[in-house]
Amino acid sequence: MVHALQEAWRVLVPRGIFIDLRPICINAPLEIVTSTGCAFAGFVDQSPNIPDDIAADNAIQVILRDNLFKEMQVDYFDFAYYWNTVTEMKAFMDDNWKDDIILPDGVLQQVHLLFDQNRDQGRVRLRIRKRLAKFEKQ
Amino acid sequence: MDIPVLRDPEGAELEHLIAACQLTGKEVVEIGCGNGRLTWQYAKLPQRVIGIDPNLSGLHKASSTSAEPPQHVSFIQAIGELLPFPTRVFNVVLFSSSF
Repeated sequence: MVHALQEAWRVLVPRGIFIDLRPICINAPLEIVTSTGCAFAGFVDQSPNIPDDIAADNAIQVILRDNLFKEMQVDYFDFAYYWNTVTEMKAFMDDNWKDDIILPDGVLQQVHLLFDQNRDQGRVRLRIRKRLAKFEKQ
Repeated sequence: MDIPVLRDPEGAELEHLIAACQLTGKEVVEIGCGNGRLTWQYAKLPQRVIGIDPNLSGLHKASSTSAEPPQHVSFIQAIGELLPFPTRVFNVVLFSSSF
């Protein structure tokens, strides 16, 4: 990881900008969204990716310590995924995030229950917290 | 078969990226561009955009997203640890969930 950041430093012009944009491995709220509001079903556990997150943070600390970059800004925002059905949500998670998240059985049951209560107008939403950090080449 | 999903319809990611970083007229390389989902959202702004990713299937999707891709946008198979570019050529390096 440090090697990739050193490569970023090499290809950047002086005072060039490096942007680190990635999800934060905290529990992500799963909700049913309707035209009148949203109902919370529970949290999706993103802890399987915590080691990668820590490794990335450590790599950033190395390049800051070595004065390759200076941190300019850190920003956080929600990145939302929407599905039309719980079945599509589950299939997507199994296909794309099998090793990255844990969907507790109780949360899956709850999202099914809430979705069935709002079947005509509900959509499933997962809000992943993302972090955008900006660094300037030194 | 692709499972239907709507990603960030609010445009929060693009909004925060543009707010943090001047992209207009710049030379940009995106490391870990995947299928180009984010790349194509900001691609009209920079003077040149190169997306790199080790995964060929993602790059094929990225390249085929636009029927007539603009000449200033390209996608290359590479890894972040060994960038196939000379020194001091880019104004912005964007790591999108890639390290």
